[in-house]
Amino acid sequence: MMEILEYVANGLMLLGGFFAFSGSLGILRMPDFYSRLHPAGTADTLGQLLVFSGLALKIIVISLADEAAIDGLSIGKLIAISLLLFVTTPASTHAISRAAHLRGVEPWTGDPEREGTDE
Amino acid sequence: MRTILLFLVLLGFWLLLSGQFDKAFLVGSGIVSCLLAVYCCHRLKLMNEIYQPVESLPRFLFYLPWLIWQIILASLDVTLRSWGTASAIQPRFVKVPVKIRHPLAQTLLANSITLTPGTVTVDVEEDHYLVHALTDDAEKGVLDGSMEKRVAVMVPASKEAGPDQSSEVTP
Repeated sequence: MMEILEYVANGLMLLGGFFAFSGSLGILRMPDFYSRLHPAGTADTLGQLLVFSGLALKIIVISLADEAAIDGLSIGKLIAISLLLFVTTPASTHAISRAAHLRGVEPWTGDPEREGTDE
Repeated sequence: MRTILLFLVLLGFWLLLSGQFDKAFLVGSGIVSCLLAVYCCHRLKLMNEIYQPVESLPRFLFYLPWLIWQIILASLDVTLRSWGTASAIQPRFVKVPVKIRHPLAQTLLANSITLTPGTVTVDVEEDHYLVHALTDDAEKGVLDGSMEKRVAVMVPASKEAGPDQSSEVTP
């Protein structure tokens, strides 16, 4: 039972790392400024959610293995960080995209006639 | 009511970060700091339904799982497209008509749209949002208004069209 829980915790963290990596890859591969915001979002939302769930589960597993009381404070702190990211991420994304929009950055649409207008 | 709740939340946050319940000085200074913060909030007139949406909190707990589920679905989609070819994305700007006027509901909706990968709220106007969508599906999802309905249910005051709710409340 304990081993299974530990594997689940490790798996959650690995999966979170995969989404964070995919986010970075997407930022590099996307064609223009606005499109790059979207893959960045996956790393900030699903990625952090999975990593923090994995960490919380890991804390529970370690506490159970040591037959100690579950470290609720650390889990509470993890939840607090996760919530903080959920509140601050859209605010910063909105701020940066709005700044670009007001500045007149044109979106890339895949239309060859407008190619390069986003540069 | 709001005062007591704010005090309890602040105290809980202090205890969470300090983690020491047996040292009288630390707990005592925590209580003093929280009282000071609550007093400042009173002076700054932050004790209202926009800064402390106590009434919406129970419904928000039902909204959160749905939002996380939407985020998971959208994240999987955007991740697949990050690995895919250029034809996998069709980025464009969309004007999304928005009926709700309540500032809190508008903020929640704009944040929810941005949190969901594939759509980013670029600009908030009086009766519509300017949203950048990565794909056709993301555009359809944001235009069908299901998220707005859920936010409207969550913030009861948003249904009553207030006199001048659309203007930002500046503290």
